[in-house]
Amino acid sequence: MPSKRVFLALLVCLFIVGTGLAQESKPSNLTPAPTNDKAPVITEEALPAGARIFLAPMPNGFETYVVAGLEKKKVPVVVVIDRDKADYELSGVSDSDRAGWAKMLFLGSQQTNETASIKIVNLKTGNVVFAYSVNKTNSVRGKQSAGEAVAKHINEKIENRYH
Amino acid sequence: MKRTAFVLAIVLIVLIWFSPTAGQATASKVVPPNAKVFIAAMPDGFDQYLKDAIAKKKVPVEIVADKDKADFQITGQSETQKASTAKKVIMWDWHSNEQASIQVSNLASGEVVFAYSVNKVSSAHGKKSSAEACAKHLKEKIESKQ
Repeated sequence: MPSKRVFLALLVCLFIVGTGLAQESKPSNLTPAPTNDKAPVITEEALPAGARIFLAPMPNGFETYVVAGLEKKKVPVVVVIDRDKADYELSGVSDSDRAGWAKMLFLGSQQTNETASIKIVNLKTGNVVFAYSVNKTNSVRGKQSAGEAVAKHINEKIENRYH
Repeated sequence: MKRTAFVLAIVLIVLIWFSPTAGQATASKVVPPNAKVFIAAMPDGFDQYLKDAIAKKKVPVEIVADKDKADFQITGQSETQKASTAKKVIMWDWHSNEQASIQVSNLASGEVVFAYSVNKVSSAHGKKSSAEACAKHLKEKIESKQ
């Protein structure tokens, strides 16, 4: 009987020590990563109308859809093909998720899911002046819709309407 | 003396106003008729479809094979999503989904003067349809002179 009590007490001690160690280990995960002097800084800097922007190549050629979106939404920027002639650089990632057979069968939809994320960096200061991500479920026009959403929000940023 | 200075000032203002660089911001966005255009290679040979479409739609440009001889360059991206078995069986649809995007850049200024993207669900003629849509809008751009 006493041995059973000792065994239970040992179990409780082990549990307490275990949880204590687990809690101690948590702060080590929260320690900030070593700061890099060249890490991008996100600023409230304005994006002026008529800015010269270079669009870096993106996966699946999404940059051309963004240019088309800028053209369609009449965003007041000048897109250049030479990075040296640009004031800003737009870079990002994009991904498309095709409709599977289950989606076609149960939802009767063959539209893709689109996701994209972009950032605009001031090439002189290295600061990020604008960042935006879009996720379109059942995108009616695929990448075109995502590209136009990006362009629309860049326009809002230029007009200081972006929140 | 005062009058001469005034006349000189007027002449100077008129000269600056009508100088070629004054209207550069708007002029650089124009694709003039009969411009020499180089079409860069695109994925899935979409450049070839685009050449055929430009010829079919009678777009007033001259396509050149050498980039050094061109005033403008067309680059772009194309993607075809062929009808899957599920689409054929469930939706009874054999047509592919097409999406493409092109941009026309002025090689002298390095600026993009025109861009267009197209998305065709169940495209009747595949890449041909999307290329013709691009050509049609390029023609509209040239004819609008904006």
